[in-house]
Amino acid sequence: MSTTRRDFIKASLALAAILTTGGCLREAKKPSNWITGAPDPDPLKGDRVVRTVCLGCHSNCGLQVKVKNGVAIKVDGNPYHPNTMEPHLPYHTDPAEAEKVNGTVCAKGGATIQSLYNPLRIQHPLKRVGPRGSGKWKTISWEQAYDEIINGGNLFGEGHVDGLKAIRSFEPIDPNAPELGPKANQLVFMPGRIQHGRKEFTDRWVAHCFGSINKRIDHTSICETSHHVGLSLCFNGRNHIKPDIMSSNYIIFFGATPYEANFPMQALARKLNFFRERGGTLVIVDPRFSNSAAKAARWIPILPGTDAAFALGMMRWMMEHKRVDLEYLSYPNQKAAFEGAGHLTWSDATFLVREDDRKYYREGDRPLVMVNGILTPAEEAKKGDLLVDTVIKGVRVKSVYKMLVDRVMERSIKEYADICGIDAKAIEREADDFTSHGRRAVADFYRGAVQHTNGTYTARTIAALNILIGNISWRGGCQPLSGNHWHEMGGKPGNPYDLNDTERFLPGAVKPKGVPIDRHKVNYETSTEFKKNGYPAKRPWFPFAYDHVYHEVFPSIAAQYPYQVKCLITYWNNVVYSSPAGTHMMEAVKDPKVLPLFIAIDIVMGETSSLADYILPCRHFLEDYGIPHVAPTILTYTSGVRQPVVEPVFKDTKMLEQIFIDIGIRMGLPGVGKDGLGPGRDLNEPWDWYKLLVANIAYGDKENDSVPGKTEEEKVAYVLARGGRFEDYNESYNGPYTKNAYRGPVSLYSEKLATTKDSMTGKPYDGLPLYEPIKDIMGRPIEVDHKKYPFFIITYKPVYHAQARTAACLWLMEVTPEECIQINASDAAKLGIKHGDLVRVYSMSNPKGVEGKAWVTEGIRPGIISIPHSLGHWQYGSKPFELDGVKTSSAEWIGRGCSANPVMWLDPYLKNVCLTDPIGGSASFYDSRVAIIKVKGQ
Amino acid sequence: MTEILDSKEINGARANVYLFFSRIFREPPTQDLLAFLLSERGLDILKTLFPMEEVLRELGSLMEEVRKGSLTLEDFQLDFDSLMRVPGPCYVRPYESVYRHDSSSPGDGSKPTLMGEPAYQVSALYQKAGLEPCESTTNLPDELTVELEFMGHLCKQAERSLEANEQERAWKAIAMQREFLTEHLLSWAPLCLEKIISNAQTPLYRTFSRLLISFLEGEEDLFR
Ligand code: SF4
Repeated sequence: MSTTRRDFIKASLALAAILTTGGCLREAKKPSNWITGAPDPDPLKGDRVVRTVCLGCHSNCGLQVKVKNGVAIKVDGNPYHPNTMEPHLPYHTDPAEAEKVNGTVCAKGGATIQSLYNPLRIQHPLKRVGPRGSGKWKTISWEQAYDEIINGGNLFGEGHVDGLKAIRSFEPIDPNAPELGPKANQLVFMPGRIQHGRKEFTDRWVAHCFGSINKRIDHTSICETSHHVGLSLCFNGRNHIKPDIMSSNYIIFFGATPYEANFPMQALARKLNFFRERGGTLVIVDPRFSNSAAKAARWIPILPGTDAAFALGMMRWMMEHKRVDLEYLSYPNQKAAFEGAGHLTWSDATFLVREDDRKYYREGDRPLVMVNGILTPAEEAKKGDLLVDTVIKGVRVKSVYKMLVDRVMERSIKEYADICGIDAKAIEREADDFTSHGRRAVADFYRGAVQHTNGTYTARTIAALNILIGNISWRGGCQPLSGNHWHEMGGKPGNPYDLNDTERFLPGAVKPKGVPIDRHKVNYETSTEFKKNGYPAKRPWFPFAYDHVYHEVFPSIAAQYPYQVKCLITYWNNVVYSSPAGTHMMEAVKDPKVLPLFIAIDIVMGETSSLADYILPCRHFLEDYGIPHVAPTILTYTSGVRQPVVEPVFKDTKMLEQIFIDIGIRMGLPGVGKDGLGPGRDLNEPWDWYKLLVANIAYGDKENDSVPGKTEEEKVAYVLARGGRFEDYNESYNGPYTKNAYRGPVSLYSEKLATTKDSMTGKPYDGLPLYEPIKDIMGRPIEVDHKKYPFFIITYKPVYHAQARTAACLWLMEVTPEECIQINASDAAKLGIKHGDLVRVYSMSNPKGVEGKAWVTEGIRPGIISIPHSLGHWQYGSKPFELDGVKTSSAEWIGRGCSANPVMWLDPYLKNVCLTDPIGGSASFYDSRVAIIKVKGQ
Repeated sequence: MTEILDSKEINGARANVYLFFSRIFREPPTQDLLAFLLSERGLDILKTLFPMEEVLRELGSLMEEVRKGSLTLEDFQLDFDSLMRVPGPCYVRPYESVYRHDSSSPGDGSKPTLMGEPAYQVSALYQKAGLEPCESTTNLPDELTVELEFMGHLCKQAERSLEANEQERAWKAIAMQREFLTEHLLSWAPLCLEKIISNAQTPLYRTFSRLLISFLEGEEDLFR
């Protein structure tokens, strides 16, 4: 068939006849551009762009902030930073060109300008004029504050108070218990959120300039510390895993909601969108139907605290259906694993464990395995036997994998499912799917799974799922190392300044020693108290809690255990608001005889700062420096640099580092002032410190790894102009592995755990993956009348809130619903509660409870009550206080809603602190039971 | 370039074809349009314009099915909506920006977005050609229907200029046709049309996509 030109013209005319008018374009003399009238993607033009790093939450996204006439007017994402774009801009891109591109920020990040310009910020140093916590303050000068804090005296008309000078003594606190260390330890520094660059600075000051062992007891125990501790006991000290989302095919998240929280939140959410678009299967295990559950292929509304049982059930199915990568597990050393199947990691599955002392069976220092029934050093074997159970020289030994199989087989899948309150099929289906994608499947988890008394065990159990499929460090698998960075503290071949070398960079440094106030990283058996009294200790000791036990500090201060704290310095700390049962801690710091000096460094009148003697006003993060890192969600090297975006909004505020420098110089401490950073390097202001850190980043870790620039100044400027240093996106992978992959041993069994005794029960911990029911600090089940308290209470972070800080941003509070107490619709119907009713939630630890409006929803498992973080402030600017005899202004909306923390359980034995994981030190956020009643209809 | 592009009639005819396809992919079919397309006369016109036996046979059998009542107007309307409007499993996202994202990105990290660079480029070209969006228009500038319509306008402009003996203006319009075709329409429309062919639930849009692909191939030859 063909057509002629003539026919074509003729037929097209006939076609024209059917075309009615209409269409999208019209002719015009002065045509307007199509895009006119559409919303301008960037309506605010600044006269300057500054690249820094966000601290709206801990995701540490790069920011590109527009500044006009010295005012920060708009917050966008820094397109060089991998958190904000997929892929991020190549690092060599000209900064002026990069201004044309905006990365993303979340609602919290965009709203941070409201906390910067918050008129309720503390603007001058304050000193209390009434009793602690009375809300009466006067303005003082910095000089007066420094003088009183350093020299002490009768500061409040309540008797003499030692200042920092008197506290800095190197005499023992208790000559009868020398292990407690010197009196200088009676200074405790307790920041809430403190990040890299800054934490190394304050560690240096508190530990090596001042000499206290209590250098930094930060918030991690109310965040996710058992996650870190559990993982570091699996991955040789690496404390964070994340899936390689962009190449994975299946991800199951336990107790995490990557579309709302976790970090870096916006990168997780964005990458998961690509993952799902590619057909990846997302599974969310969480009693609450989160944003993430809404996007998931499956939502598993498990009972709180039972995630380990779910994982063990999966393992049972995997073992019974030959879905465990036995080949990977059989490699007992690095060489064997790499040569055998290209693995970068190897496990202890074949290592033998003695029944008598729970240690690895060794020859000298060398762990042994069986090779076809013959004892062989693990480091020499190509493959070991996995299922060993035998007696050697009268000692029963089993291989780690055999121990794990025995452990897993203790319960049927149905029994595991009953513990979780779900159908056994759910466990079977996930086990099947998880093992159907080769190494491109990952089991991940976060605080929902570990902020329980069994948190560390749960962390190790979920991590073990990954080990059983051999996905560690493979592309699409589980990543314990990515999220790496250039070493700002130096010490690598390319870095010019090795700031950890105290001999060169801190002349006169003190070596702190002793027991920290929260007893973290110390074994009770090394104490004089143990030698005298044996078990139990007066309060728990935490040999594995590498990240401190934040919520244990105030109760320890009250108990003066293991010694009295004479001066507490807090920074951006709101422990009484943010901790479970935190309101019970307020009394702990109110008595000046127990705690003589309490200094809070803060930007607002926080709940905890309101209990202090002095409040020293510090800067907002948009006025600050820092070198924040990112989580392994990001595969490429990332060193963000936080730098001031604007001049300080309130001139009489100071950077945290400046406050410590000022005090140090006035006290004559080593390591500050003239030659403070070594000969020829003064430390008089924060930049003196940070310029060395940024230089280390600029020069890089390896020789000849520097950014462009002829001089150090030029190199530093190159990094600052881009808001940090960022490896290019195409460096994410190295063949079948992620580029910055973990290469080390993985442990199914933790010898350390299995051979350490708990300070309260005197019993050793368990070295294997384990489900353990919720218990008190004495290891006893908690007695509670389930009829009286039929609900579990849990918390979550809405996507537009972080912990305490976001309540001060009006934009965020405007989108926060009034109804904050989530309850399942069937539970609500039984109790006669309607959406919007005023209800009261109470517990056996807090019979008065908290009140708020009910949010009746099907999106939560029956039997669970959920209240988000960030609400229910009773200070933080929501209430006035008295300043210089006058009532300050306040904003009631900051205090809207309620918080779940006040109704969470106290430990029944200790009675003044919440339930705690004795290993990792995590505060329990999800184990308390409560009741709910209607107070008033709408 | 072939000399037939100098012909005002050819430009006029091409304009009609472009505007016809623009209509097909702009809105769901109406009863009248369907009646015409599936009438003997309609079929004859299409046969003349697109001598593609196999495709037209499909149209013929489609006509049968409509006659029998096994396919109705509503089926075609639903098909249009699910292909062109509703972000469900059949949606083809008929925008140039979506098809011309940076596919060199690793993994599946490439990022198709609406209102990407091509949208800005084509809207600048529309303006350059003296065209602006009609008031009631809610479409995005780089949508398939709009780009087809733009080609229709450019062909018409060439036709008018040739009729008025304004050779230079005519050549400008023809040069712009070439630029727009090679840099925009041809670089993505065939991909989008292939997607329609595989996602369509009725033969109607499959057929028209095939016809348009063949027409665009002819256009490509014309400018070679
Ligand atoms: S995710 Fe966190 S760090 Fe990133 S922009 Fe939002 S608030 Fe800032």
